[in-house]
Amino acid sequence: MHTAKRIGVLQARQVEHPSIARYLLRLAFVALGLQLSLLGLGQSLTIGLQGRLSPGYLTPTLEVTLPLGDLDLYARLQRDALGVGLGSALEFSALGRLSYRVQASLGFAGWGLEGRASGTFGPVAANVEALYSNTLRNNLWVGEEAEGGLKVGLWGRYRLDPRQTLGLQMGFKNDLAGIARGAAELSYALRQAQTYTVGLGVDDARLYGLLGWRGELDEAGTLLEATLRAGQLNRLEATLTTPLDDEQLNNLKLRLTASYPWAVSLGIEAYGFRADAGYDGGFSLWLRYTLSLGGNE
Amino acid sequence: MKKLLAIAVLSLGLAAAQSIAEITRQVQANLDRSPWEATITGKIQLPDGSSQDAEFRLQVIPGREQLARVEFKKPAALEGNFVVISDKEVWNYLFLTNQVIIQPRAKARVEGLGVNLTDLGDFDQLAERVTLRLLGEQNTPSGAVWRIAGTPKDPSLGFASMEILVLKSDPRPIALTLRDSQNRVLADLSFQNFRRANLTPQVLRKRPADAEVLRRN
Repeated sequence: MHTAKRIGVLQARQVEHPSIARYLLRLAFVALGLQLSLLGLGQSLTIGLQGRLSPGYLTPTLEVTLPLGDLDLYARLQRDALGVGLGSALEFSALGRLSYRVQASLGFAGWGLEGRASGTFGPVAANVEALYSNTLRNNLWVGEEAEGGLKVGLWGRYRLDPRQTLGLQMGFKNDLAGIARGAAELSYALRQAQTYTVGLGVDDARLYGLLGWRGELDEAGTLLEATLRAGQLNRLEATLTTPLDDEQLNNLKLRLTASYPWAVSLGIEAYGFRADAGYDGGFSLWLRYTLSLGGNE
Repeated sequence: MKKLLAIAVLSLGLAAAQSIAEITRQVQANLDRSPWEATITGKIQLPDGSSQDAEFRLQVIPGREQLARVEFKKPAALEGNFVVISDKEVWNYLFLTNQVIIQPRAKARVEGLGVNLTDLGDFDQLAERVTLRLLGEQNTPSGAVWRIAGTPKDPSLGFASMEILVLKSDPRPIALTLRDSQNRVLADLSFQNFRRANLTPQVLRKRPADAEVLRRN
């Protein structure tokens, strides 16, 4: 760890025209100190049961997170499919972080691979992901979309100043039938007491506008975030989070997603329990409970 | 004669040592008296000679279960980010991704390369990491101060020397300067708006309810 820090200092000193990133690194050195650490996630075990009507399907689900040295190992298991993954992260204290995760899934229906990388540094945050599977991804894991083939996505945010943030999302899919689709969305968020977001997007030649609102509703810190996409594509997403104790260790979370043509999902989460109910032509229900097994909890 | 001189030098040295220990004790006792907050403003010098404004808000609850919060105001790119440090954990909040990364204190290595701002609220810890000595006294617009110089005990701390001004009438730091081995100023920070405040752990741990919590071991 010390070696890494020394290298960081040397690099910062050798640069004649430091970029903003290097400057920020320098700032951290002086102001707060760099917290460079390659650490693992806390151990956790999530057990669940997911059921679906038409076609009828019932499966137990199991998700495990296990730190192993500098890496985090993940495993997930359901009826007829198993997934394993690993990830890691580099923490830069208040300056940001870099993380990555790769995962492979194998089931009777087929196989899938996915990779994700995220980075936040100063005014920039970005996330890239690439997924491929030779079957519908929800055959490999019930929480995934009913899509297969290739999916590539890029998500980014850039802070213009403390109050204004630009957002960009781009995606490309080439499904199992070989049909290619693209999507892009540009948004602008203004943070005052609340945050207002406006944006424009296109998804497979369907144009839509975006309106968002996020803000606290009371002194206790109850927070509502709502995003409406309307036009040739229509979707409403809303999340309400309310603290259940003063320390904010436990929250009650309610999630609603509604889109047209009709698909609705409702979620509720508190004290490690989580229930998700959905309708997308057929009803589904997923109950889960998460146990934190280690670390400092 | 030589003996006398040696004794005199030794006594002077002992007196100085006692005096810095006494100042450290007074500062610690003063800052431990009640929760307090201060704004830290100043300039951070870049290697090319240019400088950048920096502003942080530091809030400290002293005592057995000490808790500190550093909130970033400037530079603009970090506004809204904060760090909460307790005996056991370090919380890092990133505004842009709305994430709180919680790490055990032992692993998070808060001290890092520079001076840990919260050390200025915990002089005992600072004295553990930095060899302090009294340079003298001087008058400032805030009042008479002790000038204290410090040299890091661990050369990898990222600075070669530090100077702290400690207010005599109300023993607490009011300014801090860090220099590198070429005597260039790395940071020149002053403590403003120091006040005793009715801070609670809930206030210091405040975060957006919907922030994604990532626990790291």
